[in-house]
Amino acid sequence: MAIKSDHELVVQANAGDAAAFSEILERHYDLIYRLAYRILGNQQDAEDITQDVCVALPKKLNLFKGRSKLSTWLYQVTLNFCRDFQRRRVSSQKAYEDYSLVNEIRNDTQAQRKRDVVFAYQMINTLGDDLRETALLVVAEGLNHAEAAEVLDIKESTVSWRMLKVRENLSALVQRGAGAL
Amino acid sequence: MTEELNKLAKTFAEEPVIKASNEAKQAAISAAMSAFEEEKTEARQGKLIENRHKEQDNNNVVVSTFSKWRESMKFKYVLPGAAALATITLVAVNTYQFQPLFSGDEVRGPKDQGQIDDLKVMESSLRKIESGVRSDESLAPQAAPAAGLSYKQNVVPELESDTDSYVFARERKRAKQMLVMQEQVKKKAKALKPTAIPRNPAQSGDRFETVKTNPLKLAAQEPVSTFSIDVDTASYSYMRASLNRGVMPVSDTVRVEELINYFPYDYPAPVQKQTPFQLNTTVMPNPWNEHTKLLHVGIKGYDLPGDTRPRSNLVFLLDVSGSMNEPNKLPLLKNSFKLLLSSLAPDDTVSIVAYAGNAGTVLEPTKVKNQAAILKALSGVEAGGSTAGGQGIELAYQLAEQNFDAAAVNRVILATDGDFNVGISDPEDLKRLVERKRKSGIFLSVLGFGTGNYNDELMQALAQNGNGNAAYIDSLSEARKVLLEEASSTLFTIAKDVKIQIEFNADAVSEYRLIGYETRHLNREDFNNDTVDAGDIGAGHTVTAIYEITPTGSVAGLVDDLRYQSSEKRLSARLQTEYGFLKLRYKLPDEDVSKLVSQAIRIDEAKDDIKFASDDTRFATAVAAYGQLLRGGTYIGSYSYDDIIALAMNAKGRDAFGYRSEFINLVRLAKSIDTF
Repeated sequence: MAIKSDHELVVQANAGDAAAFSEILERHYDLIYRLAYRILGNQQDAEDITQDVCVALPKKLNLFKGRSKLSTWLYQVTLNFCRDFQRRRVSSQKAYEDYSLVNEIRNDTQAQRKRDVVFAYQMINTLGDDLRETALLVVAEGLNHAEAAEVLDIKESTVSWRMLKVRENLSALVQRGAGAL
Repeated sequence: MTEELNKLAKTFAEEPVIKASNEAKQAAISAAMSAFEEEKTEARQGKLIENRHKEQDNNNVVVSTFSKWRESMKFKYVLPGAAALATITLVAVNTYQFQPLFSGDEVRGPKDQGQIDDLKVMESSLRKIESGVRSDESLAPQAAPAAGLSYKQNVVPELESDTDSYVFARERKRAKQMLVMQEQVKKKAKALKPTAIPRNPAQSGDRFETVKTNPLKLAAQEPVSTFSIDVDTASYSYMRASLNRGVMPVSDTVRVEELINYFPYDYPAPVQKQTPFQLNTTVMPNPWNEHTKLLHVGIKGYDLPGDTRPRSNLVFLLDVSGSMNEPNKLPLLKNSFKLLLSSLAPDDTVSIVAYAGNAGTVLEPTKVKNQAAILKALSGVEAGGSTAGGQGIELAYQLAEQNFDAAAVNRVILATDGDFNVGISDPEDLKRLVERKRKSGIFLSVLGFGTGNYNDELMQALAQNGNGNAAYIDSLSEARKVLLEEASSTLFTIAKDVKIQIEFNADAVSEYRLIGYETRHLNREDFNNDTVDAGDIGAGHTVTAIYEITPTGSVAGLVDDLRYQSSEKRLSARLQTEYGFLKLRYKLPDEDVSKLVSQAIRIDEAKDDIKFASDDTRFATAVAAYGQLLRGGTYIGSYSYDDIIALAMNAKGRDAFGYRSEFINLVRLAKSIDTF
C-alpha cells in the first residue's frame, strides 16, 4: 500500500474511514504532545491535553480546509487547547511547572545537558505569553516565520518583530547574568 | 545579538526526544477512535435518514447509497495492520448491531407515578438528542414517542453539498433543543423533589470526618496497640489536587497512613499463598526527635503470578448526576474505565449501571473481549439529573449476583463525586446493605472523582464495609496508577480482616505513639475476635505503619514516672532483649477463621543511624513527617519542609514510576503555598 499524504488521509477520515483517522493519530500524536509539553512544562498536563486534542479531532478535522500543512494546522489546534488550559489554572501552574523542570534534571544522569535545556526553558519562560509562544514555535519547533504566523494567525511581519523582541530580551537577560542557574 | 538565540536553538535541537508515555498515547488514540466512531455514526445516520426521505421520491438513490455504504464497510474489513486497527474495524462494524442497547430502554425505574414517567420520557429523549440518535420511527422503532416533540427538523437534506454548514446548523439546532428540554426537565425535577440536592453551605462541599491525631500512650499503662490495616490512598490524591489548586489541604483531609501507603515499597515478599504475609520491622533513630526512636513496620502481601489471576466479574456503578458534568469527572471517569478495560482478560465480565435520578443498566454483563459493545455503551453515558446512589447500588448488586461466579472476583466498583441523596437516603442502611453483600461474596470498591461535592467519610465507610478500597482519582495518571499498575491489588483480595497488634515491653519502651491510622483504631480484645471486621489486602499490596517510641530512661519522656510504682517483676533475660512483639491476624478470602503470624522486635537489631535503614523505610519516614506537618505538626518539633525534602531526596531509590519525585515536588509546592 502506497504511503498516503496527510491531505489524502484527512479526506478519507472525514469520509468516515477509521483506518485513515488512526493513521493521522499515529503520525502526529508525538508532534501534538511535544508542543503541549513545551508549552505546559510537565508530562501529566501535556498527556491530558494531547488526549483532549485527539478526542476533539474527529469533529475539528471537518474544518481543516487543506490550505496549509496538516502539521501547521495541528500546531494551531494544540496551541488553542493549551491556552484554554492555562487560562483555567493560572495560579498553581507556575510553581508546579518550575518544580517539575527542576525535578527532571535531578532525575537525569546527563545532568549537564538537561541543565542546558532547563536553562533554555527558563529563558523562554521569562518572556511574556505572546513572545513565549512565538519563540517556542520558531526556536524549539523550528518553524519559519511564515509558518509560525499561520499557526498564531498573525502577520509574518509580526512574528519577525516579536523575534526581534525575543532577541533583545534574551541578550538583556544574559548581560544581567540573570540566566545563571 | 543573535548569539543567544542560536545557542537556544541548538539546545532545543539537542533536547532529548520529548515523548508521552506509551499508555497515555494508546489511551488518547483509543479515546479519539471512539470519538471518531461516534461522530461518523452520527453523520451516517444523518445520511440514512436523508436517504429514507428521498426514498419516497426516488428508490434508486437509496440503493446506490446503501451499496456505497456497504462498500466502505467492506473496505474496513480487509484493512491489514496492527491490533489497534483490528479493534477499530470491530467498533465500526458492530455499531449497528448494538444500537438497540442504547436507544430504547436504558432508563428503568418505578412505573407507578405518572409524573415520574413523564420526567423519564423527557430525560430519555434528552439523552437521545445528546447522543445524536434521532428518533426517526423507521430507524429506531423501539424508541419511546417523545412527549409530542418531533426531531425531524434535524434532517438536513443537502448533506454532501456543504458538510461544514450542515454540521454547524445541526449543532446549533441541537444545542437549542437541549436548552429547552433541559429547562423543562429541571422544572419537572424541581416540582417533584424540592430538596433534591442539598449542598453543604461551606465554601467547598467536600466532606471529611474530623480526625483527632493519635495521642501518646504510656507503655506501662496501655502496653498493647491494636489497629486495622488501611490500604486506601484517597487522601494522598486529594491532598495533591488541593495543592495543585494552590490551596493547603485542610488537616482533617490528611490521613497520614494513606499518604504513607500511597507508595509502592519493595519489602521482601512472601513466597506462597498459604502464608500471604511477610513482616518486616526496623527500629531506628527518629529524625525529628533525637531522644526517641521510630519503629517501622512493613508488610508485603503475596503477589499473584500473572497466569494464576482469577476471573473477574465487575459491575461498574457510574454516577452520572449533573454534578459529574465537569472535565475532571465524567470524561476522566470514562477514560479511566477504558484504561481498566485494557488490563482485564478477555474472559472477564463487566457490566455498567448508571444512576442519576433513576438507575439504569447501560450494559448487561458482557465479556471483555467484546470491547466494541462495551465502548459503545460507555460513550452513550451522559451526565444529568440528581443522584440516586442507593437504587443504583441495588441494581449493581443484582447484576453482580446474576453473573456470580464462585471462582471469580465479584466486585462492584462505584465511581462518584460523592453524594447519595436519593434512593436509600440513610447512610446506615446503605452500609448495612454493602456489608450484607460482602458476606455473600460481592465486594465493593469506591473511586472518587472531582471536588466540591466529595463525601469522603461516606465513601470510606462504604468501601470499608464492603471489603474494598477507596481511591481518589484526580487525573488520568492517577487512574493509571490505581487501575493499571495496581490493578491486581485493587481487584484481587489475598486476605481479609487484617489486624495488627503490638505489645510493647514497658521495660524497654516507656511511651509510644502510632502515626496515623486514627480511623482504624481497634480495641485490644477485637484482635482475637473474628467477628470484628477490619481492612483487606490485595495481591502485592504493601502496608506500612510507623510508631514513635521513647526508650525507657530517655529524657524525651513527656510524662513523669510515678514515684510509688515500679516494675517489681523482672522479665526473663530473653524478653529483656525485645522492644515488643508484633502480631498480625488475617483471614484467607474464603475463610471465616483467622490465622496468626508474629515476630519479636529485637533491641539488638535496631539501627544506630537512620542512614543504615533501607530507602523504603526512610522514604516512608519522610512521608510520615510530611503528613504530620500538614496535620499541624504537634509532635514533630521544628522538623521542616526542607528537612522532609532532604530526607526524601536521599531515599528516592529507583522510583520506576516517578511517584517519589512527584512527592518531593508536592512538598516543595506545599512549602511555597504554606510560606506565602
